[in-house]
Amino acid sequence: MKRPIILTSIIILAVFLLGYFVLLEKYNDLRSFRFQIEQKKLDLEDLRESFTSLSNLDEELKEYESEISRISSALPADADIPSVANFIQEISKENELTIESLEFGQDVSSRSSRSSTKTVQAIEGASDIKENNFSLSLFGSYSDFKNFLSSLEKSVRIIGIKEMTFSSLTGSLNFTFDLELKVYSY
Amino acid sequence: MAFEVTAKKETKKFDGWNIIFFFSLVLLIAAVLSFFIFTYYIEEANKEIGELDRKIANQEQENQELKNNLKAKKKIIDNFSLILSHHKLTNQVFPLIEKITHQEVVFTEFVISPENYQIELSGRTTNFQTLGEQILILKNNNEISDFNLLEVSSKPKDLDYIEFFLNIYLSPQVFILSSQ
Repeated sequence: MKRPIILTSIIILAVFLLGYFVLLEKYNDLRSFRFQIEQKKLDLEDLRESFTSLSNLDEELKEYESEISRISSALPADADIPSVANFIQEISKENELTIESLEFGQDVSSRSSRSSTKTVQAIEGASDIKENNFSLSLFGSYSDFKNFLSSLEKSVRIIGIKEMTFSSLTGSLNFTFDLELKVYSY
Repeated sequence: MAFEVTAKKETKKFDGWNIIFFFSLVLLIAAVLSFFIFTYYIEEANKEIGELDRKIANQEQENQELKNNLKAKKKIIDNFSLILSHHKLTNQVFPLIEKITHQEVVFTEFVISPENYQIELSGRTTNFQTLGEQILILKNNNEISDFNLLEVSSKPKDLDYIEFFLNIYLSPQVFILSSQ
């Protein structure tokens, strides 16, 4: 009779210890993991929803891909001075104006007392956009110059005018047009 | 008969302890089984967490790539808008100058500063009356914000014309892209 009592007591004690120190802890761990799983499922769901809305936005923007591409051309990765010079040369020729000088890479502020600009400077409000300045001197008639400006302003590449000066020579219908221009790049 | 009664009592006591013993044994087996069951489910939960973490990481990466792509496009558009807001067009300036020039006034030198909405003009006219009329034309034009007559000179040797210098500030609207 003594043996079952002792064994029973040992077994009950073992069950109690196992239950309290091991099983309860395991149960709590399992509950915690289940909670984590639920949280992660919610996180994943949120991320998927976010992805769907971003994808929709991307799809909408794809409709304007050609416009964005043109905008990228207006603001290229580098100044690409040769293509700008080529464009200026072409439209001058088209409008029967003679290029007297075209200067890049010099501090154009030294040519003018009215403005104080550097050849390359960051644009206000966007430090990664550079403003590349250059000067151009043209000779020709007023009406041709107006057509030249019209072509210049229709260019895909944005060419801004910082300042332009021109004066008539006595008795002549032709003018010398001095322009300080700027193009933008990253 | 008395012996039989005693033997029955002992058998009853023995059966009770056995039940408790077996019951405790069942409890122990159940506890041990529970241990293995919990361990199994914890392992499964860990695997599921690992799988979810992997899915979340992949999804985050995909979202980030898409976000970067959209941010790049947004930056291009924003930068273009910023440049356009700084960009001044001069195609409306010349028709305006032509419109505001008095028929007896000749402008000989032009300095146009689109960034300051400013035009500096050197001009010539025959007399002060036409200069006054020119000033009146400038005053009455709503595309001109302000102007200053800075210099007026008449050369004693050559009194048939007077020279003047004007500083004109145009309305910013003149330099904005029009639909025309």
